[in-house]
Amino acid sequence: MNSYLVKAFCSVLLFFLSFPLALHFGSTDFGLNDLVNWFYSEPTMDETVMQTVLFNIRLPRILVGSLVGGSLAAAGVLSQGLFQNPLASPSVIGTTAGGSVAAALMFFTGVGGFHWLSLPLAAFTGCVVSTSIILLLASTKKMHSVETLLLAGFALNALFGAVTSFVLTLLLSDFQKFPALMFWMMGGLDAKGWWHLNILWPSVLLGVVLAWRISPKLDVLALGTDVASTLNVKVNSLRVISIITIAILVGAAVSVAGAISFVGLVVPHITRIQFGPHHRRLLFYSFLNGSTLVILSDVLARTLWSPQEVQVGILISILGSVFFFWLLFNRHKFSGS
Amino acid sequence: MAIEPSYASSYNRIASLTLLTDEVLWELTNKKSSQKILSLSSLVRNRSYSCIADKVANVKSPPSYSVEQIVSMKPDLVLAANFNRPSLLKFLKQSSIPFELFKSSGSFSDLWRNISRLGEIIDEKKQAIKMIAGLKRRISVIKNPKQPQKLVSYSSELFFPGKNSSFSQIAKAAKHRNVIDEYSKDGSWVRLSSESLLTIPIDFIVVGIRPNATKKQMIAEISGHESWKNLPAVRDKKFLFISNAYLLSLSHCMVDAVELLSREVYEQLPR
Repeated sequence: MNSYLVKAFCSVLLFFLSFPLALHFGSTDFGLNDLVNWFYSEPTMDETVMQTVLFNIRLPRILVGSLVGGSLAAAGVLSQGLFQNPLASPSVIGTTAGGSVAAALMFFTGVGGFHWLSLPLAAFTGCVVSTSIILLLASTKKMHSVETLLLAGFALNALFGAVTSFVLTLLLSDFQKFPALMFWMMGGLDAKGWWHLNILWPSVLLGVVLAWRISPKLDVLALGTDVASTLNVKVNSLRVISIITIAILVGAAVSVAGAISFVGLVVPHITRIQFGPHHRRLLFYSFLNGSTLVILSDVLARTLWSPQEVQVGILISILGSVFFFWLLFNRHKFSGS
Repeated sequence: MAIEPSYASSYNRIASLTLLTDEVLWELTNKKSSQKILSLSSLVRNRSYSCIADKVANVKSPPSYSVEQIVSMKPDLVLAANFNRPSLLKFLKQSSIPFELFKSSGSFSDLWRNISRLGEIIDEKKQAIKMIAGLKRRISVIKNPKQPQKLVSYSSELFFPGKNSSFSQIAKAAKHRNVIDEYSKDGSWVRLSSESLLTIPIDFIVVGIRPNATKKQMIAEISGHESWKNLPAVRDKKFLFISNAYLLSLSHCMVDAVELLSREVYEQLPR
């Protein structure tokens, strides 16, 4: 069997295995074995609790985690392709920070508590606004180069980071809002239900379809802007559509799970080593790998300190950065592949 | 031989940096010499947290204390607690401003110690002894319920006070039990998962109610919360509403929380 098929099989297998694994393990003892027993016995109190744990807590959480991981990884593929820079990711160009600052303002003003949709919508809007700023900058002549845009992203990140920190200091004495914002900023999948899934999937679907359509053009863009232009790729409109798609994908993920970073940076890197630079292939497997990473990290987040829980965003950042270091020190081994 | 600390006979420009010392200081000095107070902490007028918010309208309370502010106010005594910013405490220790550090009252014995010490410092020793005796008497008359109830303090972030918290002490003094005690290994606050919460037997959910929130709003919030809505106690509307200012208090207002909690449980249990 050729190596591509082996790698593809492993990615797909891991993705599908992560679901039953995540359904089986949690901070309580209920697992798939209880589900099997349930089919053969009369429901008792414990079984009602088991059903709630498996179907109303774990299952929606796994599905939300899967879409969040997938969309962040897909956004990472687009960012790296668009900026033609392996360092570019939604958290680097300021998209995630835009969502965070909007959420922080929601917590501060108290508007976030008015309706369950207000916080997700605000975070989504923040991502769109911050990415639009980058888009506006990209359309000016002075900011035409990719390097300048990346630097603009760094500056935007610093600005939004400062505003978020300022809001945090204002909330220091609010013992209700401060921890809520802190936990949100750490990124997590706790308390995610079916309605989170309902607000997430349409945006993710739209983002993935758009990403799929522009992926071949990103392959051409990888040859250089001049070559892409001569090959009939409208570079400026490609940039606009890519940035909008990144905003949709990241906005959807951030609005539901908070500021989970590193997925958009690490997953496309790993996937590129596995499957090469072809963008459609990269997008497909990055989505699967991103989903698997978030789902499995969440299993660890739920079980390592059970019955306590760690924010999955923290765990992903730790695992991601350690893995990234390993990757950087060993990249010569993969450069030939 | 231990040397007893000696304090200036009378301080007339006292700056309190924490709500704990604000509330005890106010209670000790209120009736005859509240003019001793130069300023209170930033939270003292916040009705969500302060049990003396309505009484201190005329006392200075800066939004926050910086080192410069403290120096410029020229206090003759600064009251701080171990949960103040370390950099501020370090400055106070190194400065020539008389400064007293109090420990957070996790338990009633800490609270008695804090009241007694503050009384001694501000020359209100007799008032402090009287105050402690009154508070102890109020706790001693709390009746034993037929069955101690298993309580949990509501948190939208599932971040719960453990056995060393004031909430646990309040529940215990009201002859009930904080069910989170056994989940917090070191006694500190603990963050539980949604599914763990579902498996904990809970009789009542204690909800700290803010002045701008209604019980109806709080019930709607909890009943719609993904982690709470499946709990039998939520479905059966087993809520105990206590003012946030009492429930989170580290001062003598903890005793008010004990009385309110005891009364709320009594009223909800079948007789």
